[in-house]
Amino acid sequence: MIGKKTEKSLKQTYIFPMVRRTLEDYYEDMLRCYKCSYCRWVFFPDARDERFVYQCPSGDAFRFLAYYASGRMEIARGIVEGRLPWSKTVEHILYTCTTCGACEALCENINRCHPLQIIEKLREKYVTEIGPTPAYKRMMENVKKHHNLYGELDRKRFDWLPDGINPPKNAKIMYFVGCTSSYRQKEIAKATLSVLNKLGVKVGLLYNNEWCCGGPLFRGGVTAVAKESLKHNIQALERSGAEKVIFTCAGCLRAFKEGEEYGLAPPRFEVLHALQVVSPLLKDLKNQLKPIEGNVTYHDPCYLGRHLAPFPIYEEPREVLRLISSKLVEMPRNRINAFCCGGEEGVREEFAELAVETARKRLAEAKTTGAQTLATACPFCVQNLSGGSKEFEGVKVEDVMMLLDRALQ
Amino acid sequence: MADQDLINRLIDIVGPEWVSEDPAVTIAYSRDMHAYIRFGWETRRPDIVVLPKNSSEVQNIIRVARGFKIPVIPYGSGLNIFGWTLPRCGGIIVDLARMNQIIEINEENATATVEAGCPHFKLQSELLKRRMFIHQPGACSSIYLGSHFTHGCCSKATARLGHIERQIVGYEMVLPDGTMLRTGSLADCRAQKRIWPHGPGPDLGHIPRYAEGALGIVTQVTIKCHPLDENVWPFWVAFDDIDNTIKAYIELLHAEVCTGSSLYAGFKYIGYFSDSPEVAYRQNKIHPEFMLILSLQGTKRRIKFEEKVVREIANKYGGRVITDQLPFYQMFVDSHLNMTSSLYSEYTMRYFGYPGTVGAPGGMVWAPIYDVAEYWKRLTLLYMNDPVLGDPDESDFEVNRSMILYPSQSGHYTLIEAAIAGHPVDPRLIKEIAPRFAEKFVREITDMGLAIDAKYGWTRRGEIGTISSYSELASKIKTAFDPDDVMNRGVWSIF
Repeated sequence: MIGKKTEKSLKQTYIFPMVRRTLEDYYEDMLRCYKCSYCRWVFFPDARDERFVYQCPSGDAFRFLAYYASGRMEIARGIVEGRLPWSKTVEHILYTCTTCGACEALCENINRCHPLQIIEKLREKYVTEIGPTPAYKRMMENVKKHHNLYGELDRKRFDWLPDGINPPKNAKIMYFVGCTSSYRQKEIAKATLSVLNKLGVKVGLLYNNEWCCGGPLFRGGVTAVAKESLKHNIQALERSGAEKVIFTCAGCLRAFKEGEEYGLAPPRFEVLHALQVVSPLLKDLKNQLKPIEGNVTYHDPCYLGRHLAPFPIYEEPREVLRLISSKLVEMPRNRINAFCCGGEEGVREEFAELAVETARKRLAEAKTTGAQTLATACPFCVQNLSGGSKEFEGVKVEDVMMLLDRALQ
Repeated sequence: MADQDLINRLIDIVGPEWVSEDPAVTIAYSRDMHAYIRFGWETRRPDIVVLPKNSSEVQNIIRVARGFKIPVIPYGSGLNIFGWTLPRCGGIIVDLARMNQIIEINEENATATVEAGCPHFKLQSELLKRRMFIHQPGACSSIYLGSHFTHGCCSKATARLGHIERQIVGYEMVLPDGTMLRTGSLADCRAQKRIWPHGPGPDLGHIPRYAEGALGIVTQVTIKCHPLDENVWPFWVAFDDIDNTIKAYIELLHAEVCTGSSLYAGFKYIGYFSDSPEVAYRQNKIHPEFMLILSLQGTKRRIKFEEKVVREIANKYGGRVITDQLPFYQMFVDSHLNMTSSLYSEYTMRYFGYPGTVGAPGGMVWAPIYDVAEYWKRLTLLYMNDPVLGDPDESDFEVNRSMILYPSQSGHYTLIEAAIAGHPVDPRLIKEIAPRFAEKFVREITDMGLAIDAKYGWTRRGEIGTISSYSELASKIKTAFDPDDVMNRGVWSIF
């Protein structure tokens, strides 16, 4: 039973989500969840195939109610009311969430309990009271020391730059590469720069002034370090005179859009995904594009879709793919219903098996479409799906920018 | 703290990854929307949660639980507002989430057999590929098919397809002693000692219905499927007063037209189909007070005939056919087909289900249709005299005071969904207004000669049976099935 003290101390008035700051502020949202379970599955009218109707990667894997958003709401309530102590199981339940936002998107249509926001606030509280999990501690230390997630040397961030190409440090349009494209999926960064050059878009780079965007740390509840890192990037980009900043990493794009929620001043530049920039430029070049072979299907990255609601980026990648492929086929779960690839950095680091299993499920879905290429627009997705694709021969995972680069040759 | 021996036995049955006694896992099963009414938000936590994969695992779990005399509570999707799945005395939650397969869709016989944990929409989406559907008025798309028919908090019906429970043509159920009961289409007609589907003896085909898991756990169901109609057309008739609305409604029922019908007052649903709160507010203001939402369906010729009849009746009682004046808008059409409890539009069948539509705390009221006008007038007076609900600055009187009337086949009663004191999930209304309002509401209902029904709400005294005899007999059945009171202990004591 709720202690009277607890209940009284909770705010009873409605607070608009954008200005909510603490887990306790979400208390009434937790009460309001009546376990309608809409958060578990695809938006029902869009259900096309009984094999692909599940939406929550962690719930689908562990099946206990606690691993679905509605169960996590109950855990949050238990924590707020002091009925549930922190434990390793709570940590497991919290951090196996891939923060794909499917629950948040579907609840928005039903009851607006904000499950994802609550999970993130719960993680924040966990970090404050217990400390970051080993994976996030590692990431946090890496960001503090080397300004990237992977603990790589800061000076090697732009090693991927092809010889002889030296974009300026100051430009009206800046390209924010991100840790994963800089250190792990370098082909995406190379392809992006190449595409932009071919289309006549001159961009600048921050070089060593580019730090981790803080996105993965925001997701993991390590907000202080994330905020500091993001703030640095915003200031550096503003100093460079940027009017537009282009991203190829959906996670970075999302991080730049959420700074305001954490009290940062809104950036004085426009934040865009690279596909939003190149898509309109390609229309006149249709006849000059060399089509890629075979059918293509597109995986919507969570941070480019549901996380950007109400302005998700669903159509631009598809417009590009329609121009460069013979046939674009859709997976049963697409756009708002897109199943997560499992590539959230915290999950990959800490629960590799879950990340790979989730990727396999997505790849199995891609395979049913008969597509030879699974395109996406986020280096985290490319990284994780590629890891799981070894057993799915015939489905090649690539970033749209890489495909476009080849098509423009 | 659960007995380690018990946990080990359960692990032997389902495997270690599907059993948990961790408080962080069990807390998720500790509350439903009933908790606020009955327990003042207090929670009831199970001792153990177990996720079986098939019927034989369920059988073994029940046998073990019976040996330890520990309660077993079946758990579906978790959506209910009556506390059916709250572990009142602790015990083992049997979560059916892993039993989610469609076993067979038999197009020739027009039946579908599914495991109890199969969500409604999952089956529906497969059936739609075959131009078929299952008839599930009142069901939220996310509910599990086994538990929906077992709990059955709604008794909506349509003229053509009838009552919801008659859609089930076969149950497989594990009884409290571990015996497997198979009825109807799931009964083994090739068994050595042949029986007919529901006998000999009384029809046990629907023994799980309304038992709320107290007589066993349903593990499989076979459901009747129906072909999609050639054409469906929604038809709205608006009235200015309740008396004429009821007269027209009765005449429509006598004419045996409109396969789906419902009466809306207050029109609280409009908000669900509006782009913004402002649009919802405007639509609430311009829509008429009373609306008959009808669905005409079948062949084109049939629809033409029904439309003629409906127009004549509408004219006779001063109704306005407002469908003619509205632009065609798929969401409206589909949502209103939904409201009529006739779920024949493909989109509606996919989307159908609006949890939380049952008003708190009155919930469902069953009444003869000729009592509805008086019921509405009394409800209106109650609202007007309430310090908050009747205050235009505090409450949207027109929106909150709403009523939806569905036909029901149980004793020719109508089912009134009473959205008393607004949306039931608004904590302020639940905590502050509803308790005060509920008391007055109960008094009015009693004054009208209606009395509490053992299960779902209210009914006319003496017409269905007195509470004591009903409950007494139900208790005897429960004792015969479950002498150790293992299955969902205390679940029938909620009212």
